[in-house]
Amino acid sequence: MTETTPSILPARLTRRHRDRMGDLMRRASIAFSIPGLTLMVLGFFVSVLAAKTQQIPGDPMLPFDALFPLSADPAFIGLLAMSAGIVILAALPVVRIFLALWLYVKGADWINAATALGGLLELFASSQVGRQ
Amino acid sequence: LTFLALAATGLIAGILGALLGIGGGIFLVPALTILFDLPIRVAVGTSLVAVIATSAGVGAVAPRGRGGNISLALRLSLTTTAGAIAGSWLAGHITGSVLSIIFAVAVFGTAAYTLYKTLSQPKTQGEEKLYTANYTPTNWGLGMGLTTVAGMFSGMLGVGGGFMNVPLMYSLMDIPLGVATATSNFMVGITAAASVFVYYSRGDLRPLVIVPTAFGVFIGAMVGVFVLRRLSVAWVRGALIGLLILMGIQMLLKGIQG
Repeated sequence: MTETTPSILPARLTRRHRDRMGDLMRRASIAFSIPGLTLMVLGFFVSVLAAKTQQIPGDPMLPFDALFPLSADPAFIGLLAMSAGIVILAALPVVRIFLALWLYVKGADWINAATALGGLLELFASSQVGRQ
Repeated sequence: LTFLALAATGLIAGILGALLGIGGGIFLVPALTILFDLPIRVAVGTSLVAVIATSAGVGAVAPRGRGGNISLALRLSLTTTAGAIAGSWLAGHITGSVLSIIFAVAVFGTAAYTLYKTLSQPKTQGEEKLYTANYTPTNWGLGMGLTTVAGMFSGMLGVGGGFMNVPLMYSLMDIPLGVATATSNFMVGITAAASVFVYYSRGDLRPLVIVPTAFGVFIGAMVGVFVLRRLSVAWVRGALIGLLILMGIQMLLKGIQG
Protein backbone atom coordinates (compact mmCIF):
# COMPACT_ATOMS: atom_id res chain seq x y z
CA MET A 1 0.00 0.00 0.00
CA THR A 2 1.41 3.36 -1.00
CA GLU A 3 0.14 6.67 0.33
CA THR A 4 1.37 10.08 -0.65
CA THR A 5 1.84 13.02 1.73
CA PRO A 6 -1.63 14.44 2.23
CA SER A 7 -1.63 18.19 1.66
CA ILE A 8 -4.24 20.67 0.53
CA LEU A 9 -1.57 23.09 -0.75
CA PRO A 10 -1.64 23.69 -4.49
CA ALA A 11 1.22 21.70 -6.05
CA ARG A 12 2.93 24.78 -7.55
CA LEU A 13 3.25 26.37 -4.09
CA THR A 14 4.65 23.33 -2.34
CA ARG A 15 8.30 23.71 -3.42
CA ARG A 16 8.37 27.45 -2.66
CA HIS A 17 6.64 26.86 0.62
CA ARG A 18 9.17 24.17 1.56
CA ASP A 19 12.13 26.43 0.68
CA ARG A 20 10.65 29.26 2.73
CA MET A 21 10.12 26.89 5.64
CA GLY A 22 13.74 25.69 5.38
CA ASP A 23 15.06 29.27 5.29
CA LEU A 24 12.97 30.24 8.30
CA MET A 25 14.13 27.21 10.28
CA ARG A 26 17.77 27.99 9.44
CA ARG A 27 17.38 31.61 10.54
CA ALA A 28 15.65 30.56 13.76
CA SER A 29 18.42 28.04 14.49
CA ILE A 30 21.07 30.75 14.05
CA ALA A 31 19.06 33.40 15.95
CA PHE A 32 18.70 31.14 19.00
CA SER A 33 21.86 29.05 19.01
CA ILE A 34 24.44 31.83 18.53
CA PRO A 35 23.22 34.11 21.38
CA GLY A 36 22.50 31.06 23.54
CA LEU A 37 25.98 29.58 23.05
CA THR A 38 27.69 32.99 23.41
CA LEU A 39 25.98 33.57 26.76
CA MET A 40 26.85 30.05 27.87
CA VAL A 41 30.54 30.39 26.97
CA LEU A 42 30.90 33.89 28.46
CA GLY A 43 29.19 32.76 31.65
CA PHE A 44 31.38 29.67 31.75
CA PHE A 45 34.61 31.72 31.64
CA VAL A 46 33.34 34.20 34.25
CA SER A 47 32.33 31.29 36.45
CA VAL A 48 35.62 29.41 36.06
CA LEU A 49 37.73 32.56 36.64
CA ALA A 50 35.67 33.53 39.70
CA ALA A 51 36.34 30.27 41.51
CA LYS A 52 39.76 28.99 42.50
CA THR A 53 38.76 25.38 41.92
CA GLN A 54 35.95 24.14 39.76
CA GLN A 55 34.79 20.57 40.06
CA ILE A 56 32.16 18.94 37.93
CA PRO A 57 29.20 18.57 38.05
CA GLY A 58 29.08 21.98 39.83
CA ASP A 59 25.95 23.91 40.81
CA PRO A 60 22.59 23.29 39.14
CA MET A 61 21.05 25.88 36.82
CA LEU A 62 19.51 28.84 38.61
CA PRO A 63 15.82 28.27 39.33
CA PHE A 64 13.55 31.16 38.30
CA ASP A 65 12.73 32.05 41.91
CA ALA A 66 16.47 32.46 42.72
CA LEU A 67 17.05 35.17 40.13
CA PHE A 68 16.17 38.01 42.50
CA PRO A 69 17.70 39.89 44.16
CA LEU A 70 20.41 40.13 41.48
CA SER A 71 23.94 39.96 42.79
CA ALA A 72 27.21 41.48 41.51
CA ASP A 73 29.09 38.34 42.58
CA PRO A 74 30.97 37.04 39.47
CA ALA A 75 30.05 33.45 40.34
CA PHE A 76 26.34 34.43 40.34
CA ILE A 77 26.69 36.40 37.07
CA GLY A 78 28.49 33.47 35.45
CA LEU A 79 25.82 30.98 36.53
CA LEU A 80 23.06 33.39 35.45
CA ALA A 81 24.58 33.82 31.98
CA MET A 82 25.08 30.06 31.53
CA SER A 83 21.51 29.35 32.72
CA ALA A 84 20.05 32.00 30.38
CA GLY A 85 22.06 30.58 27.46
CA ILE A 86 20.80 27.05 28.12
CA VAL A 87 17.17 28.26 28.35
CA ILE A 88 17.52 30.12 25.02
CA LEU A 89 18.99 27.04 23.31
CA ALA A 90 16.40 24.70 24.84
CA ALA A 91 13.56 26.92 23.64
CA LEU A 92 14.62 26.50 19.99
CA PRO A 93 12.65 23.30 19.16
CA VAL A 94 9.46 24.83 20.57
CA VAL A 95 10.05 28.05 18.61
CA ARG A 96 10.59 26.04 15.43
CA ILE A 97 7.20 24.31 15.85
CA PHE A 98 5.55 27.71 16.46
CA LEU A 99 7.16 29.06 13.27
CA ALA A 100 6.03 26.01 11.29
CA LEU A 101 2.50 26.46 12.67
CA TRP A 102 2.53 30.13 11.66
CA LEU A 103 3.69 29.32 8.10
CA TYR A 104 1.17 26.52 7.69
CA VAL A 105 -1.69 28.73 8.87
CA LYS A 106 -0.50 31.50 6.55
CA GLY A 107 -0.42 29.04 3.64
CA ALA A 108 -3.87 27.69 4.61
CA ASP A 109 -2.31 24.22 4.97
CA TRP A 110 -4.72 23.14 7.68
CA ILE A 111 -3.64 19.50 7.94
CA ASN A 112 -0.03 20.42 8.68
CA ALA A 113 -1.15 23.31 10.91
CA ALA A 114 -3.21 20.87 12.99
CA THR A 115 -0.21 18.53 13.17
CA ALA A 116 2.06 21.35 14.41
CA LEU A 117 -0.56 22.39 16.97
CA GLY A 118 -0.86 18.76 18.08
CA GLY A 119 2.93 18.65 18.47
CA LEU A 120 2.89 21.72 20.69
CA LEU A 121 0.07 20.30 22.82
CA GLU A 122 1.92 17.01 23.16
CA LEU A 123 5.10 18.83 24.23
CA PHE A 124 3.09 20.61 26.90
CA ALA A 125 1.40 17.37 27.98
CA SER A 126 4.68 15.44 28.15
CA SER A 127 6.28 18.14 30.29
CA GLN A 128 3.30 17.91 32.66
CA VAL A 129 3.52 14.09 32.77
CA GLY A 130 7.25 14.28 33.49
CA ARG A 131 6.76 16.84 36.23
CA GLN A 132 4.47 14.48 38.19
CA LEU B 1 41.62 19.59 31.26
CA THR B 2 38.31 18.02 32.29
CA PHE B 3 36.45 20.78 30.45
CA LEU B 4 38.52 20.20 27.30
CA ALA B 5 37.81 16.47 27.53
CA LEU B 6 34.08 17.23 27.85
CA ALA B 7 34.24 19.45 24.75
CA ALA B 8 36.13 16.74 22.81
CA THR B 9 33.54 14.13 23.84
CA GLY B 10 30.81 16.51 22.70
CA LEU B 11 32.59 17.11 19.41
CA ILE B 12 32.66 13.39 18.59
CA ALA B 13 29.02 12.94 19.67
CA GLY B 14 28.01 15.96 17.56
CA ILE B 15 29.73 14.66 14.42
CA LEU B 16 28.17 11.19 14.78
CA GLY B 17 24.80 12.62 15.78
CA ALA B 18 24.61 14.89 12.73
CA LEU B 19 25.91 12.22 10.36
CA LEU B 20 23.47 9.53 11.44
CA GLY B 21 20.53 11.70 12.55
CA ILE B 22 20.54 10.32 16.08
CA GLY B 23 21.26 13.44 18.12
CA GLY B 24 24.29 11.95 19.85
CA GLY B 25 22.73 11.22 23.24
CA ILE B 26 23.23 7.51 22.80
CA PHE B 27 27.02 8.09 22.94
CA LEU B 28 27.01 10.89 25.48
CA VAL B 29 25.14 9.23 28.34
CA PRO B 30 27.54 6.25 28.64
CA ALA B 31 30.58 8.48 28.00
CA LEU B 32 29.62 10.98 30.71
CA THR B 33 28.82 8.31 33.27
CA ILE B 34 31.81 6.05 32.56
CA LEU B 35 34.58 8.52 31.64
CA PHE B 36 33.58 11.44 33.87
CA ASP B 37 31.90 9.52 36.69
CA LEU B 38 28.81 11.72 36.58
CA PRO B 39 25.47 10.64 38.08
CA ILE B 40 23.12 9.20 35.44
CA ARG B 41 20.52 11.96 35.87
CA VAL B 42 23.15 14.67 35.28
CA ALA B 43 24.43 12.72 32.25
CA VAL B 44 20.91 12.41 30.77
CA GLY B 45 20.17 16.12 31.47
CA THR B 46 23.44 17.12 29.75
CA SER B 47 22.69 14.78 26.86
CA LEU B 48 19.23 16.34 26.36
CA VAL B 49 20.71 19.84 25.99
CA ALA B 50 23.43 18.38 23.74
CA VAL B 51 20.80 16.76 21.48
CA ILE B 52 19.11 20.16 21.12
CA ALA B 53 22.54 21.65 20.29
CA THR B 54 23.02 18.98 17.57
CA SER B 55 19.58 19.78 16.19
CA ALA B 56 20.42 23.52 16.25
CA GLY B 57 23.85 23.03 14.67
CA VAL B 58 22.44 20.93 11.82
CA GLY B 59 19.57 23.40 11.33
CA ALA B 60 21.94 26.37 11.24
CA VAL B 61 24.24 25.11 8.48
CA ALA B 62 22.08 22.79 6.36
CA PRO B 63 22.12 24.26 2.84
CA ARG B 64 18.85 24.91 0.99
CA GLY B 65 17.29 21.62 -0.11
CA ARG B 66 19.42 19.62 2.35
CA GLY B 67 17.34 20.27 5.44
CA GLY B 68 14.78 17.97 6.98
CA ASN B 69 11.20 17.50 5.82
CA ILE B 70 9.42 19.58 8.48
CA SER B 71 5.95 18.28 7.67
CA LEU B 72 7.13 14.67 7.93
CA ALA B 73 9.08 15.46 11.11
CA LEU B 74 6.04 17.00 12.80
CA ARG B 75 3.78 14.08 11.87
CA LEU B 76 6.24 11.46 13.06
CA SER B 77 6.99 13.52 16.18
CA LEU B 78 3.30 13.27 17.11
CA THR B 79 3.43 9.48 17.22
CA THR B 80 6.97 9.33 18.66
CA THR B 81 6.07 11.64 21.55
CA ALA B 82 2.83 9.73 22.19
CA GLY B 83 4.89 6.53 22.28
CA ALA B 84 7.43 8.15 24.60
CA ILE B 85 4.70 9.15 27.06
CA ALA B 86 3.31 5.59 27.00
CA GLY B 87 6.85 4.19 27.31
CA SER B 88 7.59 6.29 30.39
CA TRP B 89 4.50 4.78 32.01
CA LEU B 90 5.31 1.23 30.85
CA ALA B 91 8.87 1.47 32.18
CA GLY B 92 7.55 1.13 35.70
CA HIS B 93 5.81 -2.17 34.87
CA ILE B 94 8.56 -4.13 33.05
CA THR B 95 11.83 -5.33 34.55
CA GLY B 96 15.03 -3.75 33.23
CA SER B 97 16.46 -7.00 31.81
CA VAL B 98 13.27 -7.89 29.89
CA LEU B 99 13.20 -4.33 28.54
CA SER B 100 16.81 -4.59 27.37
CA ILE B 101 16.17 -7.89 25.56
CA ILE B 102 13.04 -6.53 23.80
CA PHE B 103 15.05 -3.46 22.83
CA ALA B 104 17.91 -5.59 21.46
CA VAL B 105 15.49 -7.68 19.37
CA ALA B 106 13.93 -4.49 17.94
CA VAL B 107 17.35 -3.03 17.11
CA PHE B 108 18.56 -6.27 15.44
CA GLY B 109 15.30 -6.42 13.47
CA THR B 110 15.76 -2.83 12.26
CA ALA B 111 19.38 -3.52 11.24
CA ALA B 112 18.40 -6.75 9.46
CA TYR B 113 15.57 -5.03 7.55
CA THR B 114 17.85 -2.15 6.48
CA LEU B 115 20.48 -4.65 5.33
CA TYR B 116 17.88 -6.75 3.48
CA LYS B 117 16.47 -3.65 1.77
CA THR B 118 19.97 -2.65 0.67
CA LEU B 119 20.87 -6.08 -0.70
CA SER B 120 17.54 -6.54 -2.48
CA GLN B 121 17.83 -3.25 -4.39
CA PRO B 122 18.22 -3.81 -8.13
CA LYS B 123 21.72 -2.79 -9.32
CA THR B 124 20.25 -1.24 -12.47
CA GLN B 125 18.85 1.75 -10.55
CA GLY B 126 22.22 3.54 -10.62
CA GLU B 127 23.98 5.14 -7.66
CA GLU B 128 21.61 6.04 -4.84
CA LYS B 129 21.60 9.73 -3.86
CA LEU B 130 21.70 10.99 -0.27
CA TYR B 131 19.37 13.85 -1.12
CA THR B 132 16.69 14.22 -3.75
CA ALA B 133 13.72 16.56 -3.93
CA ASN B 134 11.59 14.05 -5.85
CA TYR B 135 10.46 11.43 -3.41
CA THR B 136 7.13 10.33 -2.05
CA PRO B 137 6.95 8.92 1.46
CA THR B 138 5.29 5.49 1.43
CA ASN B 139 3.78 3.20 4.07
CA TRP B 140 2.57 6.09 6.24
CA GLY B 141 0.40 3.90 8.46
CA LEU B 142 3.09 1.33 9.21
CA GLY B 143 5.76 4.03 9.51
CA MET B 144 3.77 6.01 12.06
CA GLY B 145 2.92 2.83 13.96
CA LEU B 146 6.56 1.76 14.17
CA THR B 147 7.78 5.24 15.14
CA THR B 148 5.28 5.03 18.01
CA VAL B 149 7.09 1.85 19.07
CA ALA B 150 10.45 3.68 18.64
CA GLY B 151 9.09 6.49 20.84
CA MET B 152 7.96 3.89 23.37
CA PHE B 153 11.51 2.51 23.57
CA SER B 154 12.90 6.02 23.93
CA GLY B 155 10.48 6.70 26.79
CA MET B 156 11.23 3.36 28.48
CA LEU B 157 15.02 3.64 28.16
CA GLY B 158 15.56 7.39 28.34
CA VAL B 159 17.26 7.56 24.92
CA GLY B 160 16.32 9.53 21.80
CA GLY B 161 14.39 7.62 19.13
CA GLY B 162 16.60 8.81 16.25
CA PHE B 163 18.55 5.58 15.93
CA MET B 164 15.32 3.76 15.02
CA ASN B 165 13.57 6.60 13.18
CA VAL B 166 16.30 6.98 10.55
CA PRO B 167 16.27 3.33 9.39
CA LEU B 168 12.45 3.29 9.54
CA MET B 169 12.15 6.41 7.39
CA TYR B 170 14.83 5.20 4.99
CA SER B 171 13.98 1.52 4.64
CA LEU B 172 10.23 1.50 5.21
CA MET B 173 9.00 4.91 4.07
CA ASP B 174 11.43 5.32 1.14
CA ILE B 175 12.77 8.68 2.35
CA PRO B 176 16.28 9.44 0.95
CA LEU B 177 18.92 8.75 3.62
CA GLY B 178 20.17 12.37 3.78
CA VAL B 179 16.62 13.69 4.18
CA ALA B 180 15.90 11.01 6.82
CA THR B 181 18.94 12.03 8.92
CA ALA B 182 18.12 15.77 8.66
CA THR B 183 14.45 15.09 9.50
CA SER B 184 15.48 12.91 12.44
CA ASN B 185 17.79 15.66 13.73
CA PHE B 186 14.80 18.03 13.72
CA MET B 187 12.67 15.42 15.51
CA VAL B 188 15.18 14.56 18.25
CA GLY B 189 15.33 18.26 19.18
CA ILE B 190 11.58 18.16 19.85
CA THR B 191 11.82 14.92 21.85
CA ALA B 192 14.68 16.33 23.95
CA ALA B 193 12.79 19.60 24.56
CA ALA B 194 9.88 17.58 25.98
CA SER B 195 12.12 16.32 28.78
CA VAL B 196 14.70 19.04 29.33
CA PHE B 197 12.49 21.32 31.41
CA VAL B 198 11.63 18.42 33.70
CA TYR B 199 15.33 17.85 34.34
CA TYR B 200 15.73 21.59 34.90
CA SER B 201 13.01 21.65 37.55
CA ARG B 202 14.65 18.64 39.25
CA GLY B 203 18.03 20.44 39.41
CA ASP B 204 19.74 17.91 37.13
CA LEU B 205 21.02 20.45 34.58
CA ARG B 206 24.59 21.40 35.57
CA PRO B 207 25.93 24.30 33.47
CA LEU B 208 29.60 23.49 34.15
CA VAL B 209 29.12 20.12 32.43
CA ILE B 210 26.58 21.26 29.85
CA VAL B 211 28.47 24.29 28.45
CA PRO B 212 31.70 22.60 27.27
CA THR B 213 29.77 19.52 26.10
CA ALA B 214 27.08 21.47 24.21
CA PHE B 215 29.71 23.75 22.66
CA GLY B 216 31.65 20.72 21.40
CA VAL B 217 28.43 19.09 20.16
CA PHE B 218 27.35 22.24 18.27
CA ILE B 219 30.71 22.51 16.48
CA GLY B 220 30.70 18.74 15.86
CA ALA B 221 27.18 18.88 14.37
CA MET B 222 28.27 21.56 11.90
CA VAL B 223 31.33 19.48 10.97
CA GLY B 224 29.02 16.45 10.62
CA VAL B 225 26.79 18.27 8.09
CA PHE B 226 29.92 19.27 6.12
CA VAL B 227 31.22 15.68 6.15
CA LEU B 228 27.81 14.21 5.26
CA ARG B 229 27.74 16.19 2.01
CA ARG B 230 30.94 14.42 0.97
CA LEU B 231 29.96 10.87 1.92
CA SER B 232 28.21 8.29 -0.21
CA VAL B 233 25.00 6.55 0.85
CA ALA B 234 26.94 3.30 1.31
CA TRP B 235 29.17 4.82 4.02
CA VAL B 236 26.30 6.35 5.98
CA ARG B 237 24.19 3.21 5.66
CA GLY B 238 27.11 1.02 6.74
CA ALA B 239 27.77 3.22 9.78
CA LEU B 240 24.08 3.11 10.70
CA ILE B 241 23.87 -0.68 10.47
CA GLY B 242 27.14 -1.02 12.42
CA LEU B 243 25.84 1.27 15.17
CA LEU B 244 22.55 -0.68 15.39
CA ILE B 245 24.39 -4.01 15.70
CA LEU B 246 26.73 -2.63 18.41
CA MET B 247 23.80 -1.22 20.35
CA GLY B 248 21.86 -4.45 20.00
CA ILE B 249 24.79 -6.50 21.36
CA GLN B 250 25.27 -4.05 24.25
CA MET B 251 21.59 -4.17 25.20
CA LEU B 252 21.41 -7.97 24.83
CA LEU B 253 24.39 -8.40 27.19
CA LYS B 254 22.81 -5.96 29.63
CA GLY B 255 19.55 -7.95 29.49
CA ILE B 256 21.24 -11.33 29.97
CA GLN B 257 23.41 -10.08 32.85
CA GLY B 258 20.25 -8.69 34.51
